Amino acid sequence: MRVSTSMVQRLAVNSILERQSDLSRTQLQLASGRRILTPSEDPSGTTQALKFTEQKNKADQFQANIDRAQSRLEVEEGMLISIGDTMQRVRELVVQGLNDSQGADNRAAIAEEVRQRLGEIYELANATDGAGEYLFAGLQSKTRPVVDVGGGVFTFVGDQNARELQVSPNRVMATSDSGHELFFDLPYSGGGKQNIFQTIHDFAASLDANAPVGAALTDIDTAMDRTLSVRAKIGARMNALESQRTVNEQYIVQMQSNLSEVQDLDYAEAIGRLNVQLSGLQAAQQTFQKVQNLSLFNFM
Amino acid sequence: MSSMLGIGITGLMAYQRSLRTVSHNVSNAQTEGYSRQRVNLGTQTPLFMGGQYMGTGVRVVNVERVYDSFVTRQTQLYTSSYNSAETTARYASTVDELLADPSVGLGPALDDYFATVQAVANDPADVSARQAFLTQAESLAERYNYLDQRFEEVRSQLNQQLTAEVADVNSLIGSIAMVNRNIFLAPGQGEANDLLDERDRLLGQLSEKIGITTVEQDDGSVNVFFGNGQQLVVGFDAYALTAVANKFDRAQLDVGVGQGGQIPVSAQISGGKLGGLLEFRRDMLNEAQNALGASAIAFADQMNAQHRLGQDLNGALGGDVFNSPGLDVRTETGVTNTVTASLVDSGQISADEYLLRNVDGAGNFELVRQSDKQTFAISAGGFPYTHTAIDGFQVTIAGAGSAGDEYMIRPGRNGAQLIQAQMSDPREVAAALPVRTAVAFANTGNATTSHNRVTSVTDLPLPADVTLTYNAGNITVAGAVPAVAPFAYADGATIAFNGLEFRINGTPQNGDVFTVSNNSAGVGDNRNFLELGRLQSQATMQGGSASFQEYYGQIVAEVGIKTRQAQLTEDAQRSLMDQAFNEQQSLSGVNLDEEAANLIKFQQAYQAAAQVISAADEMFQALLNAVRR
Repeated sequence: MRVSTSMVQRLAVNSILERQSDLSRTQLQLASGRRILTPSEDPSGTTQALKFTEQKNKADQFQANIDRAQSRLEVEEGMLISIGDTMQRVRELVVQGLNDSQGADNRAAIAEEVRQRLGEIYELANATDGAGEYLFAGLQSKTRPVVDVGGGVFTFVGDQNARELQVSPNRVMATSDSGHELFFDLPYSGGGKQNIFQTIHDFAASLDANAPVGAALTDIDTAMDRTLSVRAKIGARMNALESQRTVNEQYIVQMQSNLSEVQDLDYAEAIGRLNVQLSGLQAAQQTFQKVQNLSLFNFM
Repeated sequence: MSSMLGIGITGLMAYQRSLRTVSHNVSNAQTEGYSRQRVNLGTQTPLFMGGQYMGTGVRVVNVERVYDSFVTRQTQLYTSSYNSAETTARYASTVDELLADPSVGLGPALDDYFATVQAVANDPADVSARQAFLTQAESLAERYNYLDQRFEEVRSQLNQQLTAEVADVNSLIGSIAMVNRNIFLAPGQGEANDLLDERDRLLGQLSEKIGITTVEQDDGSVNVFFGNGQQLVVGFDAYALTAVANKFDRAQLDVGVGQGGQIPVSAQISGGKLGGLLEFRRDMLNEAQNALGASAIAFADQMNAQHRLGQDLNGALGGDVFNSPGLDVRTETGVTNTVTASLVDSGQISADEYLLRNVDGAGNFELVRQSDKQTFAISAGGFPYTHTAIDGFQVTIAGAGSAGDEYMIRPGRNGAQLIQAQMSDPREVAAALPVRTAVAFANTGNATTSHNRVTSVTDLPLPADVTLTYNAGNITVAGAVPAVAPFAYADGATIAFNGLEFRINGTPQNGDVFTVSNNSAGVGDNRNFLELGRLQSQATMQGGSASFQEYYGQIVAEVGIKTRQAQLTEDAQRSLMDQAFNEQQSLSGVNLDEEAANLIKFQQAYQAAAQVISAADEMFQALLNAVRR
């Protein structure tokens, strides 16, 4: 086939340009560590990468939510432990007060301590967390949940709901318990329901009157059992959170590995390719130089 | 002898001209579009003398331009296709890189926004978390605005290039017309080779700008057409193109012909840079910008809708976090009857464009969806008339108008430009639900309530607590406005009335009461923001088949695939163009070594012819000497 001079030149220059462009792309890949430099190089890969990134970010968020849930539950558990301990002390005082060998003066002294303990439980029931929210108020977390009306009457002005946090795409976890369940919705030995505050208040009054009521013991036991069962629920929730955390962790690792597979560069292959392209470019440049020098005009 | 002299002279003349042509070839070896010229030699008419034919020397028959019109035509064709694909690929990759850029793309902004939603859900009473949410909403809206702005920049760059290309085309066709004239007027028989090369060169440059067909005329001129027969050059006349504003969108430049460019021909241009620009805008840019806008509109609408179902720190029902970006309606220049479009169902909104045409001026219109040309008939009873929703939006037509009035409805076009976050007070963030349920203190059964949701706020706030009383398997509802009839109790079934939903689970006893009340002072409630957070993963777009991020991912993928296609086409067309060029060069290109050999050949022949003259002179001298006294 006949070739023209400009055709020869153009072919040679084009092939050098092509080699340079391939080389520059490989350089960019090596510098950035990414296999996909622009979405058009691998549209489906880019979509996958976007998806994996999104899933991983969501899972990270769920882990953060789990952290928050766990810290809230730990605070609540601490409160309940203190409440439980105080109730235990009250129980001891009740047993002591019920003892027939006690005299009126002793009973009065016991009653005094019972009232102190009542005050403690009352304050603990109205405890706030670090952010100033009442733990046992339900949704109305800026309103003091337990109100001492006076004369042994206590009312609960909170609500029965718990705050739930999203810990996985389809799962929420309650991170609080209502004072209604813990202190108010307690079966009363005398029929119906009565809250623990009134129970303790009434017992202290009965001690003062030197006629302690034995049923108070049953009621306090009911309250302590309720506290324990809520603590058990908290324990179960915290276990569930731990296992959800592990599941999320595995998911995050999986997403990260998928993401890396799709978008990260295989350095070994790229460096091999770089070497091949370098020698290709050199060969093209050298042949260009050699061929360009050949002309019949040189010999005339 | 005189004849020998004469013959020698013909030799000298012929070889002189041959050498001249060789030097012309050598000088033009690097000239673009030059076809090598070849001198064809022939014998002079022989003389019949003494019963014999005697040769009389050599003559130049013609100076032939080595040229094949088919190969040239091929080259022009592939030049057009290549330039079209190259232009499209170049613009496409700009958009491509913009959308998937990890720092300015939409994906990371959406992720950050939903992260703040989660933060509020984790700490609903914390004002700083709410402030962070509002700030992030603003950032997200700004990101939409920014991406749209970049699209607009591409659009305006495209307009500029279009104007420049049209000007280039006009100047080229002017030159071609002039060369046609010059070729016609060229004296002497045979073609003016260099003028022909010039015209081919101009046609080659023209093919870079626009796809053309050429027809050669008998008088030597070439007529040039584009599209399906639109004229550019006919004989000695050039018909200029004009860059004109589109009749719907004055910011969009199109190509027109005729007086003032009044006849739009954009749809008929293919090939060349103009074809590439128009194709890119039509198939990629418009669609991508519309889709981005549609996603902004749907996002704002759905966020607002969920937010309005909640309750803020002031105890009021939730307001709008974002504005409602308007749907774009363009009216044909000169039409006075107004048409507006409003959003009905943001889950159905798409990147499509719709042409609304006034059929008869008497209330009959038709709406044509541009992607598949599906037509919807509209008969307006009275005015102003609002039609039922099509593809998530409805049109409102102000008056009867005149037949032939046209409007272009592009629901998504301005969405990303117009979206704004408009809430500034963190106390107005509606994280809570406006109601809560409770189990009465005196209940003896073990039933509980759960799964409290709000689906509509028209009957809120509740005028009074709603009480549900269980008796012998049935539930009677008191205090609900509007009233609710009694129903049978089913453990765990969803109870829904007046926009509220919840479940009762367990075994109630006769006389057990459950209440639904306004959620006053419920500042620690995060339930509305739990719902808002779930919107991240729900398929709320595209008729329920994609989530926000999936929809955006689809836009990125579409653009990526189209860019890839354009790049592959560019590569394929480039090699076709190179092949055609090589073929043309193989035939018409100058090979310097060949010309060098010809130089030597003709030099030798010239020297030989000079020797002939010299020999003739010697012979004459000998003759003179023979008769000297």
